[in-house]
Amino acid sequence: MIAGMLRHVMLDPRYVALQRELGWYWTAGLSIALLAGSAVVLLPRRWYLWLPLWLLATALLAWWSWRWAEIEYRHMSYEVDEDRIEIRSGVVWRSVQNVPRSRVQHTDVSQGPLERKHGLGRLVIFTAGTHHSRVELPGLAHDTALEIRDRLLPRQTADVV
Amino acid sequence: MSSERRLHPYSIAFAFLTQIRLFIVPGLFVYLGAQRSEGNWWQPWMMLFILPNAAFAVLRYFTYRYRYDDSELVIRSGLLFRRERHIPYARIQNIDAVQNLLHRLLNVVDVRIETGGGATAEATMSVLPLSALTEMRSRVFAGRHPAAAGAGDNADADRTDQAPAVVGRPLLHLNTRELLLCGFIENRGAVLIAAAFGLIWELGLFDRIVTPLVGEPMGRGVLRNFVRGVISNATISWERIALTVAAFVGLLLLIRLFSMAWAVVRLHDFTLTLVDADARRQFGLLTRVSQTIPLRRVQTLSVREGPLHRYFGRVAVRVSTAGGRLEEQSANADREYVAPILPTDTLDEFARAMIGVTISGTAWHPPHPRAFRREIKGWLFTAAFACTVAAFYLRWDVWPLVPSGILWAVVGARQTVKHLGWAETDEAILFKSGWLWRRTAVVRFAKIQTVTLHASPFDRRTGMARVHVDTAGASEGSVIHIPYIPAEAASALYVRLSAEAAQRQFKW
Repeated sequence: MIAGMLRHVMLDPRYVALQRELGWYWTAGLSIALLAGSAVVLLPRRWYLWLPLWLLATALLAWWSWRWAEIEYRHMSYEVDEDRIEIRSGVVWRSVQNVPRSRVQHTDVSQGPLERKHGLGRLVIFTAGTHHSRVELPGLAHDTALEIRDRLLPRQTADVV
Repeated sequence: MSSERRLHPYSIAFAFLTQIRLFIVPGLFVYLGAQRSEGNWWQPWMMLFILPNAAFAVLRYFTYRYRYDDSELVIRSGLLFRRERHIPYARIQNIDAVQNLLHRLLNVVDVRIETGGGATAEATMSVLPLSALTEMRSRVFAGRHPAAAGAGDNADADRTDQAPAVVGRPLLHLNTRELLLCGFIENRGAVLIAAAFGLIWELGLFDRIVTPLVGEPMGRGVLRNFVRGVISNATISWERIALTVAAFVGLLLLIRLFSMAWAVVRLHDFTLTLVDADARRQFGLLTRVSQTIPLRRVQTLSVREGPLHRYFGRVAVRVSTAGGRLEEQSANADREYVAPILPTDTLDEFARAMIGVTISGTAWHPPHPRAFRREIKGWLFTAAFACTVAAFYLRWDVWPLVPSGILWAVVGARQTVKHLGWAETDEAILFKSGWLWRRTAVVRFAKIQTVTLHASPFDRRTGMARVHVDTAGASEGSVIHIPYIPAEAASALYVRLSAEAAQRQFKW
């Protein structure tokens, strides 16, 4: 969206695999729920009608979550320099977020179980803002996340109060 | 290291009362239940409510101590869970004082100490004698505000007047006439009136009062009959309609009168003074509030203007600050108004004094030319929804309402888009919005937290984008969302705001 975004860095490619794995779980859960729902509501009558439909729906869900992980990956990027950190995200509703370095209150690096498995981490930046008090950057290699966090540590030592 | 001090002995009574307030409703139920049944079974229950509170209040009085060290205030409290809190003098932003009627009768004061950051007061001391407040102010601010500290030392400890004579620049003083006008324009206490009205209706008092006057229950079905009558030329009972309208107008007048009285009592003798880099507010007739707002804590300044404001040539100015909103059980917007009512021609001078930005004479950027087309969609949807709902009652009679709905949508959308605009100066970003109720928000670059550029699919299709500016204020009124900006201008604005924010340090 902006010219300055040419310097942006993409997320770690393993993020796609992570999202796809997450997508599998979602698809499995949804399709089981769908199956249970249809079985209960429609009963085994006309199973030859809704069973193929359910199969089709499950296949579509699986394919869609597979594709979506990659599409979303292509639309996410970030840049960290001495002045600020800028994060671009969103496929349909797009946004670019800018956090000046001096507004970073503190940072967190967290890892869920799936993220640990893929060796990724999530950087969470806390600001003093109202709406954007938490800015998240997922899909970073764990070491990279730690490195960015260290770089964002406030440099000034004087109490800003 | 000075000696340890305690709260005023009256604090037992005040703490007890505060706790009791929580138990009023259940207590009422118990009492009402006791009315019906016999015996004294309810007395043990009342004891259950009252005794722990009394015990807690007494305990707190005996375990709460504070003292003045060289560079910090130390507060010790608690019996089972002991807590020692150190508050460095340098971190204390302001010391606010609240006195309600009971406080004033007994010459005590409720003190709140606020430090940088955080949404609540760092320490609340309830209650202290008045002399202790003066001592605290002079000790904490000695060296920081020599003028105020000097005046504080001279202040007589027995004075019931809250404010020692401060060497400051008076910004605003509202006399009773202005306050009456403020109450008339704003609608304070409307919720209370509505609740009272609802209660009266529920208890059937309304019917009991009105039916002897009119002879039949009125109000319900009047509007429906009126519309039907107009459309299908049926007979309309003009008397009933006139009576209903009169009652409605009477109710509105009553609400306004109540609001005017409320404003006069709540904001009596409203004074805003600039002392060094702080703004000091004092107001209140029964509950007297004395509050300090460090100017650098002002994140967003909002100017509000409704149709009545415009008629009388006034505006209302509100600021949102970082941290430290006075927390009262009746948390109300009074506490954020830095100028509940202000003549429009003094707005510029006021804004310059508060945040150093001039509002009038700015070159406003209008929204994208195609903004109207997008804006009207929302309005038309609302109109269609309203007509659909009306159709349930009016059936086919709803058709005449449709053109008026469309007209309303067109006028509303057009006026909204016409009054949208944003502007940048050397030091701040401004945003104005609203058609009937207008709002102008000003955020200095140094107070910007994060800047976000958004583009929804609708935005992208029409070549627009939105910019969100986030600040550290605690409420909705403290952020700015600018819609319908042409895409390149939006990118440029985003880049500029990010650069300006990065260049300036953020100080709490």
